[in-house]
Amino acid sequence: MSALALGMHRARRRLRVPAEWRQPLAIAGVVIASIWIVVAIFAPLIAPYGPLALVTSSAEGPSLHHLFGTDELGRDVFSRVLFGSRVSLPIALGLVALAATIGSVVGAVAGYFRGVVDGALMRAADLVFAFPPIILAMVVAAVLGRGLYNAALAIVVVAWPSYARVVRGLVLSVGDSEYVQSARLLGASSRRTLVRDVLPNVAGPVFVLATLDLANAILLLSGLSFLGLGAQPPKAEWGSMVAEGTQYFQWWWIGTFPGLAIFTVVLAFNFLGDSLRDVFDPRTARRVEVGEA
Amino acid sequence: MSVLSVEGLRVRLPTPGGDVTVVDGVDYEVRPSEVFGIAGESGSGKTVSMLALLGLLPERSSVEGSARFGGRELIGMPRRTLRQLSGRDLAMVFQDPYTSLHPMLSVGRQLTEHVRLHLGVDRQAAKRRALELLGDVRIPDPQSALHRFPHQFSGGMRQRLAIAIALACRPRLLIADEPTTALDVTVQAGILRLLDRLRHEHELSVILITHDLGVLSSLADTVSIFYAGRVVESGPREEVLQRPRHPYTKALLDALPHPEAAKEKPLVAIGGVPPAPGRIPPGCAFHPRCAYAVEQCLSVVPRLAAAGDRRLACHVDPFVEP
Amino acid sequence: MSALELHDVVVEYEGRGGRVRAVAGASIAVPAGRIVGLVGESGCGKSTLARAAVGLVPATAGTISFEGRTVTPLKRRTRPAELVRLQLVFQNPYSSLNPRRTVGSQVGDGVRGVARKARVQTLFELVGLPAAAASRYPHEFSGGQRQRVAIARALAADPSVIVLDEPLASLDASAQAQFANLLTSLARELGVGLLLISHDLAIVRHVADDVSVMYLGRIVEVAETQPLWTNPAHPYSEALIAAVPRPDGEGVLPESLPGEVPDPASPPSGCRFHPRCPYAFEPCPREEPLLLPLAGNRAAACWLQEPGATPVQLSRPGVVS
Repeated sequence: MSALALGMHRARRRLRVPAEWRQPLAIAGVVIASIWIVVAIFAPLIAPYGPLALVTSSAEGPSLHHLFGTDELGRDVFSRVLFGSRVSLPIALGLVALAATIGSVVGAVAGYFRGVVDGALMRAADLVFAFPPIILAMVVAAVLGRGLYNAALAIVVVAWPSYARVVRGLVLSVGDSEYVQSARLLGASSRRTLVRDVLPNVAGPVFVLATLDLANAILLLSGLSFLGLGAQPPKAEWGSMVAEGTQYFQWWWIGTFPGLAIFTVVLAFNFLGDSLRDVFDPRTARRVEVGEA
Repeated sequence: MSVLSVEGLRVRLPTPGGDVTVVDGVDYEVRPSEVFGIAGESGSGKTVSMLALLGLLPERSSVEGSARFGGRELIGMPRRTLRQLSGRDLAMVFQDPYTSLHPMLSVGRQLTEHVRLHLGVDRQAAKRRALELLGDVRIPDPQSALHRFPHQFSGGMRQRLAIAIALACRPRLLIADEPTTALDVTVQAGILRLLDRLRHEHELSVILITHDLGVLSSLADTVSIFYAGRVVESGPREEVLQRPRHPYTKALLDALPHPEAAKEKPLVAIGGVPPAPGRIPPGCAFHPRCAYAVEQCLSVVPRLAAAGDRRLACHVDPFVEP
Repeated sequence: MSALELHDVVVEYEGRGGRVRAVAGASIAVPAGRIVGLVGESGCGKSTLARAAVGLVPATAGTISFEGRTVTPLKRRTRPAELVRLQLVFQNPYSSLNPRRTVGSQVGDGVRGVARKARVQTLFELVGLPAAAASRYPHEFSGGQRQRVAIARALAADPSVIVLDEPLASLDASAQAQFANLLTSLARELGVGLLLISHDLAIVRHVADDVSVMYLGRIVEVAETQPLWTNPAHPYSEALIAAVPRPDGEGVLPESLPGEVPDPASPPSGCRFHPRCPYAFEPCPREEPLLLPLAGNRAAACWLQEPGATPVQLSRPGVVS
């Protein structure tokens, strides 16, 4: 209904904070993600102990001195969880940036040149899509060897095709759009329209995808470490900490708190990504009346 | 004895910024076998007022006023009763012939299901009725049409199918919201003739909503002009379109190309834009764009009152010779 | 020699059952400073013809020339500079502007040289929009205003011909009136030739100098506007004009045309219009009539008309101006 739509548009303009952001989930996502980023930056100042420091003789349950208890070697779990963020977050960020870059370039090339080039590149992407991500990541990580950076590379291999597919789709649809056709009728070169018309339309969706992908990356990274392919002990990394926790079930706090950390971070970035998706959707854009000359 | 009598209809729709009044006090009456035309631009509230009658508005909307149909009050009627009523005594046809029919069911199925649901007849009787309806709306080769699907028909044919479904249970009132806007002009002419024939053959009243004054002029008996959620002028078609008294009606007519007008003379466009719901100016909603506005127009909302051969909501009534 | 000339243009595409001719041989001429209307209903191929005229769609056969040069289809390469003065305005004002760029920068795409900002402002004023609007985004404008931005963008290239593909279809009556006035002033004051494609006969009648009527991929009649309306030479033109409802309050129903537009993939034999034509006679299903010139600077493709002679008045009552 146009009347309804107009009314909603008018109403949105009066608010200082757009409706998309006022959703409780979006707020929760932003808050939690921000907390973790702050933690990652200031962990050495916040954490009561170092990640490798032996503070008790044996495992102790959560208490006032050790909020999350201590593990089987006597290390403070709370501190290790905090320091774990310094491992997961930056590496996930880095690998997502790398995957996004590679994937976007591939997708742009496929969409721009079309034909044989497009076919070849997309088949490569399809090949990756054919495998369940964790399985493929495991295989690549195993081939590359144990270690956190190898695990990160494995995840990049798994992650780039999503960006390629999204960017290719956008390049194709924007390339066929009437406004690009208009620009080309005015004498703009294909390259110029790529930069001026296609790129602004691509940036938003890629950004949304990257935010959601961050959650996946952290999950995969933890998963690989859990399986022993990523971070190696004694490094404080959430996934390997959860793995330790499975060995010492009676001391439930060892695995549970790192698990909760993974859970909250992943959830936060998911909410964030979802609400970003609404922000970038041109249909929810606000409308302001423009007067006449 | 009117088929539909609407009084003081007021509709407020929920929006994130608060409730917005989209229909602001609308009165009209539809008589038996009459084609009642409603004209207005987008945002005038013409469609929303119809949806209000059929209970098709979003959950938290508020509807005030009265709409008596066949002696029963539609406003506030429980949804279940309303659903039984609509489709049977009251039917609606929409603008887009491409999305108003179920794409996965055959035409025959859609017709017969509708008939059986509302009239409870057996399969054979329903099929006979379906063929009868397809004949009424002049669908070629009705027998094979029963087995075909909507996507196999053109836009104009689909609109005929939608009309057939609407008429399946012999309603007393058909509401047609921009039924020909999406169609080519020759196809439109066919649909208008069809509606005219049907309303005579079946004693059917039609509410015809459109922004196209040409369409109204050819089919409607009575014309009602909507602006910003209110009725500004309402009366017999000939009087209103040939001797408009409300400045908005006149402006609408002046904006149309006239066959007799000199070619080089520019078309007269109405300055400004219609107000968005929720941003209606005080007093007469049209006053910012009106060449005849006086002091009173800025503060007092003109009431739709009897004015000779029609009803008019204007403080000035500038075109009438004394 | 007109600024834009199309001769026997054919446009085919790959359909479900094979090649389909969306345009089956059409010729149009658009002189500078004149408004040529192209009317027809869905499926007649007018939009395809518009796109072929500017090179967005390759023509399978026939010639398209702009200011004496052949219009080559637009491929990966940059459009040749000589063709830039041939512009197109699309139908849908909501998809013809990039939602992520300001309207000013999009209009500026067509401006060459240094004084871009000033030129953009001039263009905005030319189409009746405030110069300050240049820094805003498309979603801040109404449909009618967006179409004017689209015209401003086309004007940025200093065109001698603009093809407009149903530019009024998404606009309300008032916006249509404003837009129509703008088109008239572009032709009269700037000397731009306009090819106006529309299904709205009333506006075309008011604005166009010459009109071509198109049916199922072919031009069936060409005439100046007034003579076409008072005395159509082709039965389809007559039917089209009689089908337009008049807002005169008289309550007269418009004339309808029986039958439906045939599938362009399998057009009728002989004259394409013959199955629906009230005057069809012996030669019509057999042989397709060519578009032949008639007296008075007109042309029609109908067996009822004698080439070179004054057009025969078709005998249907009720065809009034």
